[in-house]
This record gives sequence, structure tokens and C-alpha cells, in this order.
Amino acid sequence: MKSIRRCPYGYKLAANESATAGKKVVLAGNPNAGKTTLFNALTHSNLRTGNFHGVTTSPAQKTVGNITYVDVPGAYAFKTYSMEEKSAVDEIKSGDLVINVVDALTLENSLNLTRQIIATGAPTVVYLTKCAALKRRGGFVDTGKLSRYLGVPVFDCPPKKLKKIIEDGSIPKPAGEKCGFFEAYKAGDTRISGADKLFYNRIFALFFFIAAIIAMFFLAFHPLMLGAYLKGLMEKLIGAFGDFLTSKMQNPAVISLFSEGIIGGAGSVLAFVPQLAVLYLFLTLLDESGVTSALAFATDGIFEKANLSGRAAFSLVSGFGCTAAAIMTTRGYSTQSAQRRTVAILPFVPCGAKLPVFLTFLSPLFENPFPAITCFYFAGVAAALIVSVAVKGGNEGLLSEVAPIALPRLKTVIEKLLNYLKGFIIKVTGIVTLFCVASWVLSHFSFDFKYVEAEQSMLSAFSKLILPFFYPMGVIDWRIAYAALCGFVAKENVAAAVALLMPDGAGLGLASAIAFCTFMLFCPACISAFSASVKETGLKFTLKCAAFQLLLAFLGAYVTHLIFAFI
Amino acid sequence: MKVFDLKAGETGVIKNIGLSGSALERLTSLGIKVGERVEVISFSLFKSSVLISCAAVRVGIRKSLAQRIEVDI
Repeated sequence: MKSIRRCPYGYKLAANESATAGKKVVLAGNPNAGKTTLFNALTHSNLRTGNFHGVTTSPAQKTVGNITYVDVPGAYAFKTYSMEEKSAVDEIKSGDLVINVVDALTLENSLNLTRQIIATGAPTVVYLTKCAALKRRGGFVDTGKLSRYLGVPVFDCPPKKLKKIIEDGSIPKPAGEKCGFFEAYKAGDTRISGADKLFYNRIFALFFFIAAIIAMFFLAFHPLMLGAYLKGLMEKLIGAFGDFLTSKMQNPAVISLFSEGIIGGAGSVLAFVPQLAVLYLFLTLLDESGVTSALAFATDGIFEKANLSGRAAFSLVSGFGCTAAAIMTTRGYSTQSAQRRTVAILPFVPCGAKLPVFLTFLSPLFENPFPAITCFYFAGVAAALIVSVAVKGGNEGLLSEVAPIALPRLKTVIEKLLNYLKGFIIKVTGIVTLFCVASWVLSHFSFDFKYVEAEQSMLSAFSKLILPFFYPMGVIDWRIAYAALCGFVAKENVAAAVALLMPDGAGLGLASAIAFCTFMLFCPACISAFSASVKETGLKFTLKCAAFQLLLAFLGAYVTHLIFAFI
Repeated sequence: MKVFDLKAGETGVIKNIGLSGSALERLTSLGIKVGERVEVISFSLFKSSVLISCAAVRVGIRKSLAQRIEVDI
């Protein structure tokens, strides 16, 4: 009984030793209560979490032992408001055990859903989160008394203990006299703090946001700063590893495959890890501290003018990381037209994978690429907003909770950062490496499978077919046309293909380099973003968007080339 | 008086919520209902929406919705 010592009223469900064997355990609760964080802890998963209302947008499930855990999107009540919450209710009703995850900071309101869950008759336990924050603001919650008030077990123990209790099936039943709510709970000081006030101020929020983004790019891209410095180190390390690998090899073709194909291609993309780490660290800190949530509110006027949902701010910020993930966040919207509008503009927000592309083409031209890259990021967001104004469709009223400002938990920040980097590294060592091998083969063999120079290869013959489309942007090398094509699989491939096929650099002049980057900025996102978009908005709409983006990308690049050619 | 007409820092008691359906449901489940005291914390850029607090809850509401919530000062 050690595992439930924190629950003073505990007794064992005697009849059924493993009450939840082979059963379904559903995690339900209000948005931003911490369901996914608990789910990750219970199942050792790494699902995306965020300090924002509506991060989880579809039920996720994982079986550990003989228990299937289901994480459902947040819901306020069974009568629902947005599309995401409809799927949650069905899952809750089908659970063998429902863990109602409740944010201790807003306990009183959360109980509305708790009562509805209990009323379904499904065995329910309440799990409290953010108890430490409640204590900090002078409140308290007594789990024993609260469980007697509600009539269901209440836990505030660490997730590991909760897991053990579930696995043992030793869920204690509340015992003792029923007690009043205010004996069990005190909200503490809920006044707005000075930090909150500052970030809710629209003028401060706007300047802070712009300053934070510029600081982020500065740290990542300025040649004297951390990101660029570490990237140099990474490049040396990867180069040394490549030399070591090929030093024992004899066959020139095999050496070429390893040194040009794998190390030169995929390895060069891997070297961007430190710069991506700086970007993602910033975004995670903003998110975990509640600043993103406050900024989304304070800058709502911009989004309203662009006919966007109040939640779009969060989707756009997610877009800096990964377009596909950002598209998934739009499921929380209450109307389809608001969702479609956001999905249509998200590809314009440069994702993390476009960063190596910009750097590949702009670094050779500028001693300090930081201002140019910052311009491209802002241009992407501006394009997104402008396109949104132009697209027809309904608006959505903003009705969204704003998280309080708090110091982020270091552990959570580091976990999220490592997780994101892990995803990037897996992608580069997996799909991008495979892709580099394929590109190497295609670029070293002719149609009759003879080992030839790249110029005579089948890749060259094929790429020259699409090359004419790139002439007006000053690109006359088939290898760059091929790189652009690769981007539709994954944007990391563009930088990898250039590094592989053009070891001495792309060799583009200022006008054509900027024109090509403009093309990359506007062109349709990768295949995973495409499939996310199909899932959320349907094939027809996605194809329409992609065609529009492609057209805009070519025209934009042509015009940019014209302008810069005359300067 | 509408909640949108309050100034930042002012409070009012909700007299009537002229909304229906899911928007009303959500406000109710957040504890924002007739008889509750709410405080206006701030307005967003271009005054497109208002941030109100009610007990421990802070919620941003667009102008079109906030203009349908009546309060007594």
C-alpha cells in the first residue's frame, strides 16, 4: 500500500486485484490541464505538449502492459464548443477508467466537467496538476476532503505512483463523511501579477515579441554568436568523421558515396542542429512561461484585421518549428472556414527545415547573414497575413483562456528541446540520408547504368526538363532545379542536395540567390505538411492551396530576380 | 453597460449574457455567468478583443462577443 500513502482515506478494491487489466484508461479534462504531460509520463511517450489551450487535437493512445491509455483533447463540457471537443466525449464515455485531469489553479470551474464525467457512470478518478503553483499563490487543496466532497478518489501524487495504483488496480474509494467544497479547497491569491499586466499590455507585448524574435535570430545566425559558432564546430566534427570513415576505403565510387553522398549531403544538414536548437529553445521558453499565450491575446488585433482566428497566433508560432505540426493545431478551431484559412497560410511561415536552405544560399553572399535571414522570416509571416486578408471566408470569435505568466520549468524546457532535436536528427539520419544515397546513385549513373560524371547522369537529364521554369529567376544550373524539387519530400533535402551535388557551394549571385530563397519561402510545404492538410481540410482544398502557392512562388521569384537584377 | 465599454482595471457584475449555444456553454463552464463579478484586465492591439478575469480564470473575448455581455458597475 506504499504507493497510495498520500491518499489518507485509502483502501484496496478487494474484489478485483487487477481491476484495469486489458482495459482502457481515458485521460480527460479541460484544455491545458496537463493531460498530455501525464499521458507522456504514464506511457513514456513524447507527444507534443504546450502551455496553451488546445494543443492536443485528436485522441492518442498507447498500450503499456495490458492497459491502453487514451489521451483526449481538452473539453470544458459535454455540450461542445469546438470541433476538437466532439471526439473527446465519445472516448470518455467508452473508458473503463477515466482519469479526470484537473488544473488545481482553476479547480472550481473544472469540476463542471468532472461532475459530467462522474454522471456517465464510468469509474472516475480525479488527478490534480499544478498543485505547486497553487501553493505558491497561497491556496491549498486537500485531496482527502475533496474526494469526500466529490465521491470519487482524488490524487495529487507523482505520475509514477498513479501508474502503479492503476496497474495494481488498488484504487481507493473515498471514505468518511461528506464535506464542503471550501474545506477542501482554497484558491489563494488570484490577482493579476505585475508580470501578467506587463505582457497583457498590447504595446509592450508587440515590441517584446518582435524583440524576442530578432534576439533569437541574432543568437542563432550572427557569425560571432553561439549558434553559428557551434555550427562551425559541428561541421568540423562531421568532416573529421567522414575522413576517418573513408580513410580505409579503396573503391573510388564507394568513397564518393560516403564522402559526397552521405557525409557531404546528410552530414551537412546535421550541422544545423545547434542553430535549430537556439531557435527552438526560444520558442519553448516563450511557450512554457505563458508568454506565447499572453502575446496571442495582446496581438489579436493584427490577426483580427487579417480575418484570422484568435488562436491563429499560436498556430503561426508553431509554424516556425514544423508546418505539419502547426496544421494539426488548427483542429481546435470552432469553424471550418477559420481552420481552412489558417491552414492555407501556414506554409508561408518558414519552418525549421527551411533554415538550412536560406543559410545555404545566403551565407556565401553575406559575411553576416543574420539581417537577410531575419528579413526572410518576417517576409514569410507578412505574406501569410496578406494572403489571409485576400482569401474569402468567415471569421471566428476569440473566446480563449489565457495562461498566467510563470517561470518555465527547466526540466520541461530541456525535455521538449531534446525531443525536437531528436526528431530532426532521426529525420536527417533516416529519410534525408536515404534520399542522399538515392540522389548520389541517380547523379553518378547514366540511363544504361554506367558510372559517369554528374553532367551525363540520369538525374541531370531529368532535371533539365524542369530547369526552364527556373531560368527567369536566374537559375541555370540543373542541380539547383533538382534541389528545389527535392524540397517537396522534405525541406531538409534542398540543402542536402546542394551540398551533395555542389560541394563548392551553389554559386548563385545575389539576385538569383534571393529569388531562389523567395521561391523556397512561398512554395508548397513538404509531403508531411501536405498530408496533414489533406487530413484537416480535404484533398481538393489542399491541392488548390498548393497550386496557388506554387504559382506565387514562381511569380514571386521572377519578380524578385527582376528587382534585384536592376539594383 | 457592456463589458467591452469598461476601462482596464474596472469591474462589473454580469447582468445578462446575450449569447446562445456553444459560446454561452463555454463561458458558463469557465465560471463566467450572470451575477459573477468580472474585471477588465486589458485590451488587445487595435482593441479587437478584451481580456477579462473572473476568479482564477482569464479569458480573451473578441469584441463582437464581448459587446453582448451586459454588466452593472
